[in-house]
Amino acid sequence: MGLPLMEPRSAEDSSLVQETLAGSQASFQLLVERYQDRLFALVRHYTKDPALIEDIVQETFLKAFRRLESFQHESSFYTWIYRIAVNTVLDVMKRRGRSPVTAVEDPELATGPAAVDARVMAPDARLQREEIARITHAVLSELPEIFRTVLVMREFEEMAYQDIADMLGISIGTVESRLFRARARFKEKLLQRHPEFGEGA
Amino acid sequence: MTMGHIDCSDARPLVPSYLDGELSEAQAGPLRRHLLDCQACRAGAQSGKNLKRWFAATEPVAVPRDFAARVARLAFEGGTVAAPVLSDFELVPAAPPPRPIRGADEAKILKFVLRLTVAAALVALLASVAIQSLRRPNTAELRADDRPTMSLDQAVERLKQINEQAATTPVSAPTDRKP
Repeated sequence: MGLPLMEPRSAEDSSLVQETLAGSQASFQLLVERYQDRLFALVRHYTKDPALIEDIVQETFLKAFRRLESFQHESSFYTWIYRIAVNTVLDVMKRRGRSPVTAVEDPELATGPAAVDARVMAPDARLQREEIARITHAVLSELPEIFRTVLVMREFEEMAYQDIADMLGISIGTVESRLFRARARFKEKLLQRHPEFGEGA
Repeated sequence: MTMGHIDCSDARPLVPSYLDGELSEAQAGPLRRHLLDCQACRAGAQSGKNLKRWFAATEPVAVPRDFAARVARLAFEGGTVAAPVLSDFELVPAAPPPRPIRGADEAKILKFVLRLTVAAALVALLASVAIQSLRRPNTAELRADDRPTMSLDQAVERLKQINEQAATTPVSAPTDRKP
């Protein structure tokens, strides 16, 4: 599983890593060019501030560079750097006063059992893709970090439960329950903002 | 749960994992059959699919044109040089670097001034110690009796001398004894 993390060009990545370690700045630049779009998109799920996104992605690549010798070639380069990126994002969010991992579960959720059963419509076909993304990001930004993180990993990055569990250091059962709560909360917030997307609305 | 047949209470918790592609075929098969038969569970599964559609699109993020070149350069210039941390809302101009000491002359002057200060401090310290010891009262000054002491014998001797002086000195005062 973990389809999007498996890269057909991992052999090329390995050579680029070797060349970088041998001192080739150009090879490292190629590696950055290869993954910068995906990392910018990943970090975009956590903040919409372009300067902060750039800062976090840059820090991710610099961390990767400093630890390049520890890169194990049995995992893909993207899997490896993705992990660094997620940790960097979560660190930054923590420093900014949010606590993504420490907040175990959100007590607020207890107030909305109806949200679990709430049903939402698919986005209107007339909506532009950008408009859908804008709404989704606005709703995501209202969620506690632990919920946002599993939703990003599962829905945008399409990671397998096992990969999410490994990345966050939690059990698969916790991944499942957290995803369940995250989706319920997402539906609740979406319908608060846009009641027109409720089923039967 | 009988083999190959599940009811709603078995089916509903499986739906999210099913939609995420996390079920084995042994679990997915019976669920699929249940969904064909059960309109309520099918509606629930459809809602889950609808929700996923909200995550199909991402907002495009513009990567700065020179980003990769800049990051590679930073990495090779030392790797620890991170970009200035940017605030949420504005680009903060980088703080000016601390003014360097211009040239070797300024460094020499600074050194000289420092040495001079140390020397002056030492002189002042020595002077204060010296003044202190000069002004220190000696033991004689600190005596409680301010007269020179003499032994009892000396005192008696001195008293005799005084008496003799008195005896030999002619007394000017009139006396009632006539020789």
